[in-house]
Amino acid sequence: MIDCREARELIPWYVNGTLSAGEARELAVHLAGCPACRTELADAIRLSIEVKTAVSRLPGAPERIREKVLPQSEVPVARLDLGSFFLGLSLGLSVKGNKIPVQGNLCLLGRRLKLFETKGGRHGRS
Amino acid sequence: MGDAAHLLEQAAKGDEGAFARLYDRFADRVFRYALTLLRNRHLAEEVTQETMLAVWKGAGSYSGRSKVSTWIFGIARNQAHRLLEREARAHRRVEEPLFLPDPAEAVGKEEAVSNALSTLPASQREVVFLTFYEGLSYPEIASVLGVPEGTVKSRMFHARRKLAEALR
Ligand SMILES: [Zn+2]
Repeated sequence: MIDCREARELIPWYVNGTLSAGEARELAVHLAGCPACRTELADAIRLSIEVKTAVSRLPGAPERIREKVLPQSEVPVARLDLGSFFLGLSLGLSVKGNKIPVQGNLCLLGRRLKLFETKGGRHGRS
Repeated sequence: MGDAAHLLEQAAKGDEGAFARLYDRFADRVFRYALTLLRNRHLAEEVTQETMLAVWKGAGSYSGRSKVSTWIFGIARNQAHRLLEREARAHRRVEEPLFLPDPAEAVGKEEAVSNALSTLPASQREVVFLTFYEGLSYPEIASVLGVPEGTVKSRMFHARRKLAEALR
């Protein structure tokens, strides 16, 4: 048998339904014979609802965090190549999230040397 | 929550779509947890960003022994404490009033609860949050906080007593 102190310690997790079957049974037996702990249970149920309501009214994570955290895959939209395999210049335009980076490469004997890459302008909300 | 574990597994393989869904499922919850713990909007944003980045980068290190939510809140808590230490070193004040009274809504009771919550120490506040908002068991909370189960129970016990007094 559990006493009132032990019963009251368990009550919050009886309310959220996460006690083990054994603990829940012991607590139920105690509650059946203890009006004082039943009052504690009623208080805990009320508190649980109030906390849920209060926390739900807190703002969610701002959209700008999503933009910063989510990996943004690059989608190539345009590419301009000049010259040949041996010596050439290429200009690439792609869309990455809401940015449009531009990349310029110099090709020398089949090797690609990055000349520049812009991060692209941001638009929309940030 | 098996679904979240599956998303995490896909994210570990580099599936960006799976991670985006995981983000949408957890970002608000992590933000509210950080807000409850730190009571500072700016720092809560930083915690959320760092936590979700750590989830993306560390998806492969999730062992599957705990629930995904327990794992993520554990990361969030570490991030929050790292920031608290940083702010303390810089002698900056962290907590600020979050629950500004909104005269447009009749929220007397909720406001009273929010105000009562803000009188609790952060260590008790987070136990109340993880129990009643997140629905975690006390062994799960003990694992998020890295403290013995008895400590979780006694923090909740004291929190409830203080809340009852404040709300009387
Ligand atoms: Zn009793």
